[in-house]
Amino acid sequence: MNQEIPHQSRIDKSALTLGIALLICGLTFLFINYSVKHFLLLIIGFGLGVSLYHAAFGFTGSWRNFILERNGNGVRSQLLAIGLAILLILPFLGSESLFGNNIVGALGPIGVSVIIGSFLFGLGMQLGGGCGSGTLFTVGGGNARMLITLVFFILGSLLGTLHLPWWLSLPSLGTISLSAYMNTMQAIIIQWIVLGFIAWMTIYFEKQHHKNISKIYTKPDQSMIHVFLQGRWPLLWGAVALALLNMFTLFVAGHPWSVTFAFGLWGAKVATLLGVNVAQWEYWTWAYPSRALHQSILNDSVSLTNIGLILGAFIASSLSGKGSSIIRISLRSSLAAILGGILMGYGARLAFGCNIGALFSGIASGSLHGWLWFGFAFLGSYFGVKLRPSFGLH
Amino acid sequence: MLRKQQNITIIFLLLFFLLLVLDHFHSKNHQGLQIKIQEHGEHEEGSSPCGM
Repeated sequence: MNQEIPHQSRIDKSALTLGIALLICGLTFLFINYSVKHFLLLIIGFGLGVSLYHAAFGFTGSWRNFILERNGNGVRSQLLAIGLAILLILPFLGSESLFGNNIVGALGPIGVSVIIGSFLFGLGMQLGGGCGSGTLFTVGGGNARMLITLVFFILGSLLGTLHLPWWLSLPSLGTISLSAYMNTMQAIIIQWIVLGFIAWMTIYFEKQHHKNISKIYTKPDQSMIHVFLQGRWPLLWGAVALALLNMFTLFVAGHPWSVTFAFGLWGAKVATLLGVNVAQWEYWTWAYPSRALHQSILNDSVSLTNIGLILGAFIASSLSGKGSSIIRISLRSSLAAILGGILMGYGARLAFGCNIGALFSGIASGSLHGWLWFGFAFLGSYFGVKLRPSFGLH
Repeated sequence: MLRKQQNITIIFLLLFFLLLVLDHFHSKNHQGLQIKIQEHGEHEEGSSPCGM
């Protein structure tokens, strides 16, 4: 599924020590100054980072693999993760509160903003080289090029917050949640049927091009504990871990796993530091963004899981010994990273989330915008794959 | 010995954590420390990070 992580094999003890020290400091700081919830969110983020990195669970590479090679095991593992998340999340959204938290699903409207935004996101993820989660875990894993993508992802998100109110004035059917039209079991089964159909299509196309169907689980050739700590997880492990951690995020934060809201927030914080009066922008006057802007980043649940994710990937990368000793980023590749980052950031704001907030958590919440996002982001990815050679990317 | 790309990542992480610490104390000084994770009560625009 492949976020193109070069392979070496020895544990990097210096980086591991530093990563663990940062994690312990962060957890201690949150526990003393904030609350157990903040502490737990950093741990959940850490788990997400380890899982994403060790399973190389990226959406971008697997979509590209399917478009170019008709290799569908990456897509099928995502479908499995989404299917599990539907089962683990949707039943809880019927209750108003859980463990003392008010809970809310990842809902978004069916409208022009989501169509355009998801298309731009899909295009951008192929140029940038990673999606919402993919950008974070590859940055944590030591990929310098993805730092460029992340910086411009943040800038694009900030621009998206400036323009989102205008985009929302365009035609929209509003939020459509399956839970409003059927009971939970029906919503689960209908979505499973659609996921199953897509999985069947990937198998059909893969069979047309290859003799054998690639599997999402192959028994590791090393001991379980070695693989668990040092990586090369089967995709199945990654899918199960991500679905479970998404559920834990819902339990602790009160909303499913989300990534890109924090990028807009980080951009707004930096812009404010530079003297831009972001607080006057309409988006930042809305309830949730306004509170987030006026509070510490460490009080934002999405930022905490993102920070934990980067640290988790950093530690996982140190354990696996993967990493490149040479930095080779051509001008064209940098331009693709810049353009891809901006498109993803801007698109994610318009589309009410990225591959995590809109696709993974949106569908798991029974929101139809998640399905709309899936279709148009995949279409955008198709064009993004075709554009990659123009930037010297294979 | 850390690898080159990891050095860049570490510099980024340290700068980012510095921003977090500055932001933490800036927020604390300006309005008191908020220790409650934002709650999400309604399914409406602007009420949650996912619905954004």
